[in-house]
Amino acid sequence: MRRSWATAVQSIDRRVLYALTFVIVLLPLVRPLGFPLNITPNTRRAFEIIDALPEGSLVFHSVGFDPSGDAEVWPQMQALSRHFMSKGLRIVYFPTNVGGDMYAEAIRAQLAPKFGYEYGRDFAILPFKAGGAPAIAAMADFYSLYTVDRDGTPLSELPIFDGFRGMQDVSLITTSSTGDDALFLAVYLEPKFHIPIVVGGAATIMPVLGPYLASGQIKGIISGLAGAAEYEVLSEMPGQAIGAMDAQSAGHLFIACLVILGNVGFFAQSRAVRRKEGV
Amino acid sequence: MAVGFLSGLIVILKYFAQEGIISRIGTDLIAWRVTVAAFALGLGAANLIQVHARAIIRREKNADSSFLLLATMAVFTVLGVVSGPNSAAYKWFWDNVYQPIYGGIASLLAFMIVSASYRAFKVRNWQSAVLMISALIVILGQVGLVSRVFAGLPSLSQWVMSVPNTAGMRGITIGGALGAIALSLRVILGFERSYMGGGQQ
Amino acid sequence: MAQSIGTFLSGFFLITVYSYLFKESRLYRYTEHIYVGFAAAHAIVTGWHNVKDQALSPLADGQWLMLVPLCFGCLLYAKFTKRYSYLSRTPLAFMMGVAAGVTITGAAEASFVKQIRATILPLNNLDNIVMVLGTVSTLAFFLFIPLGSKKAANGKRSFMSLVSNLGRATMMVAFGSSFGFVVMARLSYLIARLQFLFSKVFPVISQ
Repeated sequence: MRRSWATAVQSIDRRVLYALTFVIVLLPLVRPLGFPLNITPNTRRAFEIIDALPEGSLVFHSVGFDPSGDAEVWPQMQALSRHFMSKGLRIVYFPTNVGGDMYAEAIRAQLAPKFGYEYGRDFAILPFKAGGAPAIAAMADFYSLYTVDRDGTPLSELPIFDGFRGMQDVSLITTSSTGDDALFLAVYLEPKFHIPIVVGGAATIMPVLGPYLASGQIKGIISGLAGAAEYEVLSEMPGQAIGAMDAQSAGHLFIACLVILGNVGFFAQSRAVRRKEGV
Repeated sequence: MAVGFLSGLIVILKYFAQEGIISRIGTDLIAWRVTVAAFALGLGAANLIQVHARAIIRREKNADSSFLLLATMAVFTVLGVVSGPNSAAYKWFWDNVYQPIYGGIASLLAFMIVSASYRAFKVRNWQSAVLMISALIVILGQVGLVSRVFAGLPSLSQWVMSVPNTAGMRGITIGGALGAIALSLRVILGFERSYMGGGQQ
Repeated sequence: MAQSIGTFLSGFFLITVYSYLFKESRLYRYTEHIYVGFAAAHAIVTGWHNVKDQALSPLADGQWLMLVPLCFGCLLYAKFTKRYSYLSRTPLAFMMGVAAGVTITGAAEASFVKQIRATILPLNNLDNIVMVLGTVSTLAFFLFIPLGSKKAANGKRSFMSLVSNLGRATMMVAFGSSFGFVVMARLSYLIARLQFLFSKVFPVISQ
């Protein structure tokens, strides 16, 4: 029996889909298509808050991702760090994911020398602390949680912590995260210290943070790889995210087409069945 | 248990007592909790050792893979503890072994979501129609080319995100907070003990 | 040299992982086990450095109270013995107790009071009306599910069932947009790996 087109349209082999995905995402990487990039108000707001900070302000940046999510968050972290360093802000990286410290170390090795940033004076890396929400809550009493940096050097020996009393001395908290640390920061530190929080993170956590953005508990959001590309454009420091945007757009178009195709087939098939049953 | 009750109660009291002995004990308890959580990082590894050592001893079907897992774990644990995670050797293996495998496995999800979008995302009732329309607006709102043709799409996508999405998520957030508070109270008062592995007691 | 070997190795592992899409091979299984082994090792290494800095060093400096979290931490491993597994309950109860206390104090203000306060808006434009109705109806859907499914005495839909349906619609919009963002995230994962594979291992992408 011949298959109807409705059935055929719904039963494309998964390997064909995989191969098509591979090609459709790869082609724009090899030959960029020049799709325009929309700058969202959220990214613009995040950029403006950071850009307005005076030189020497102290920024705490949470590093809450590992290799599973670095594809979208690592370009964000680089874009944010480049902006911080170009403005002469002092940065303290605090890993909130067991793999996060390796990325903070990569900033130390790759980015800091380009901006003449000296470890201990202009930036520092704190050790990872396990425990999720309680670990963030413990930051409210800073020295109960942190006494040494990631290398084991006492914080009192690092010039960046000279005169640092606790979180009340922090001008801004930013994140690069695939987890819930942005949420925990908004829940445990923002109410007590009223520190502005700008969230950079995986696209998947953005809808969850919407209520906190609307209520003002979070000031700005940079969302996923697209957010990283927008930030690179705004800070006029291009990185790897901009080059990926055509592939992202092509992938989105492909998935939207597949959803529509699947549903067209599904409707046609349902109609044929109803007609056959005489309904 | 008394330990759970007392530690939970002190942490709650700390919230109201900003100074004094209760505040200091509460601060210490939270910091201790972080230390105990650091110990817990090894629990998964201990479990893996138990399961895979048994597989090797019993010469089960995939004992070779189990051996490879335990050998990898042993080598990198020694390397990380002795030379530190900042050492060049550890970083080299992180960059060239762990990162590509973990990132690669995560990227398989891209293929899965393509397949799922095509096969499972079907409009069967009005709820799934709303879900699909909302999803398509957000997906296409990110595509620069489409927004050139439909100029209002990025604004519509932004509106969906900032108004109805926020409203739905806010309802869930408030409901979730109520649930979290209720569950936490049950834990502190000892009504909830299933986390100990023995079920409701 | 080390760089070239590293690039080759990364490419090899990536291709092995992608081979899973067509067939699960022995090579894929080995790669997967190497990953799990390394992940566990990294957790141990990080845990060890944490414990050393947070507990062992202060203990060596005479802070004897640090013996408490150290003992609790060690007792967690009692669960792997049949005879003493009950001992792991004490640190578990401690961890859960502190986490519960932290959750109550945080959630009550930031996720409950502040969110309700942010929903009290003047109903003078469409956005505010959608925001208030959407939030209230979503909450009503969760809190009054039995009432939402009931019909009124005359067989028509009750008021609560209408509210419940509105809540359901609001949540569907939220879940739909979440799905859109999941698509965005998952595609990014693939793009990054292809960028690496085709710029470093098979250099066809210019950087």
